[in-house]
Amino acid sequence: MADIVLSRVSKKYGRHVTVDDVSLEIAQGELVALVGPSGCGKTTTLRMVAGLTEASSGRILFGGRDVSSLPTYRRNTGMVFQGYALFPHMTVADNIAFGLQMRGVRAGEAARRVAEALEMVRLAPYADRFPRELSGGQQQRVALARAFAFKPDALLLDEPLSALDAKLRQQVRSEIRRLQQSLGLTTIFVTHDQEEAVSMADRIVVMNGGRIEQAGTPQEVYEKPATRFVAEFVGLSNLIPGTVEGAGRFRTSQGTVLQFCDDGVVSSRGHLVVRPEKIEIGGQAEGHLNSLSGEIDSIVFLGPLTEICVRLPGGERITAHRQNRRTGGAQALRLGQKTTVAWAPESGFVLADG
Amino acid sequence: MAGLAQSPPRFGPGFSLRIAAYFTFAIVLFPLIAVIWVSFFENKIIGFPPTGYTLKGYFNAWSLGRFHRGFVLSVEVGLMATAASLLLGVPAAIALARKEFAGREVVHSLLMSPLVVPGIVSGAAIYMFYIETEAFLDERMHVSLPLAGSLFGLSVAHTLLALPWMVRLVTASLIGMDIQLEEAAQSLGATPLRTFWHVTLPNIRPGIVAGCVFSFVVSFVDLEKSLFLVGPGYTTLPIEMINYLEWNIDPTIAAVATMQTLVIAVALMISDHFFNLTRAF
Repeated sequence: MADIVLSRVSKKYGRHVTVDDVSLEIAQGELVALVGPSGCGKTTTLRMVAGLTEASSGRILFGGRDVSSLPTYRRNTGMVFQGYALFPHMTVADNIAFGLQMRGVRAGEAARRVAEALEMVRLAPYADRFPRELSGGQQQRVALARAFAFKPDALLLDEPLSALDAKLRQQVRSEIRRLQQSLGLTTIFVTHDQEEAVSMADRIVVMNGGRIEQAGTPQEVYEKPATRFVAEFVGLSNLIPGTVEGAGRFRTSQGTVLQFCDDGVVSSRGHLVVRPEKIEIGGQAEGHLNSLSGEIDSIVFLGPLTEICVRLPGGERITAHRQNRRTGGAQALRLGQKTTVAWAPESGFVLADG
Repeated sequence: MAGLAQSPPRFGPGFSLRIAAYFTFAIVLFPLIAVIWVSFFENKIIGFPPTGYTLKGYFNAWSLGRFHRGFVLSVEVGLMATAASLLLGVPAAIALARKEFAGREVVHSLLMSPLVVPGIVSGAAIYMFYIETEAFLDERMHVSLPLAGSLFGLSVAHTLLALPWMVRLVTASLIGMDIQLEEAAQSLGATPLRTFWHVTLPNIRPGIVAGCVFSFVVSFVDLEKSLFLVGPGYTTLPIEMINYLEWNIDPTIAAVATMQTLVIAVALMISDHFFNLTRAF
């Protein structure tokens, strides 16, 4: 059963529409990531769920109950803010106890639950510190503990990792996921980082211009993007312009005919999309029916893989990722070298224009 | 004024800047030091060099009933004006800093206007308003309410003096405070009132304390606005001092001024010690 339902929710500021007719259902215990570029309406959507921003139209339901007209303090959502918003005049323990005190939980019970929450985020020794005495990662964990200590109906995270450095982000990512799963908390997570969304969420919702472009599991969204925007925003994509000629046949603007995985694309004009890791460089690999030739334009060593850019005669560039399975393997390639890019027909799909 | 509350200024290597700063400091401090120095003179009429030093000026000041009464009245009026500007100014500042409403700019300008209108002008205007109101109440309502030359009337006028400071300083604190703290409190289940009490208030306390100190000080030293509003038995300290100065220039008046300065300095230092007033500016 859907735990949180957004039904045709919109937010307008004057004539400017920030969130445009968004509908979404989130299951109990599910972690949904709202992802998109800045200004796409993801944060506004989260704030409307929290009640911090009033929706211009539409309804929001928690467990079947309409909360659209309830103020924030009666919605029972735990929110982690981008800058954490820890109360500077309170200790870590008092910060975490705040939500419990506001609900009239008895002091003894509150203390027990604060200790429990501190234990879960591994900050028990810091109970009496003030937020300014903690590192960014520790503050982030306090914010998290404060948001779930009072057993909210939903956990709402607004770019919770953006203030942390890259190494720490990885660690906190899995920690948030672990806590969320062990507590079974229905969670909405806002991020501009598609990689973060893909790696953490049960389901990702890609937003652009106030609308939902696509919602689905990370795998669905990555492997079958619904729109050109999603194809380019989530992961890297090669887009080859051309026209669909018939079932599974695509003619590029240069006239080459390529095979693709046909699932009933009718529109004639569009782009053939292939992910970089699906492409092989050099040689006529057997079974790879699609092959284009060009010359190597750039080689970027990325550690576990090498990114190779091949320029086709028409000027388009095709990016391929090659696993660095053997030490020194990338050195076999040279700039300007003539080569071919090849991929299996089922690795490509067509997105229609317009 | 802000200089009093700030930690020792740290200058760059610029030597001329340092000289300029000390020079400015000297200009500000010189009259103050001169007054304190003169207050210890033995001479009946101030003259240089002093014939000797004594504390007689202070004994005189203390024993003169007019200064005693003036001091007490000034403290009373100052406290009442501070209390009134606290009750009016803090809610006004919250509305200005947190709410969007029609006429917000107008309200802000109105609250700030006592800073712009010369004290003598508004003092005269308030005096006329009081007289007219008294007459109206007396003739039409048969109520006798003394406004001009009363503690109540003075306190109301001084509230106007104090209010802009309170509003300005509290608004600055509210704007400086992270609004997400209030949102966080509400998301944790705090009603707007409890959010204010548990989260907003502790975070804007330096601004409120600074507002109170400045409210008290501007009321305590006010001369122009009060000139028309004092009456027999209701004369504030600065006006008692002006009246005294018309006939006497002696160490006694310097001693009164020194004590007045001392009251203000102590008020500023105590509040700075407890509330770190620099955070309010």
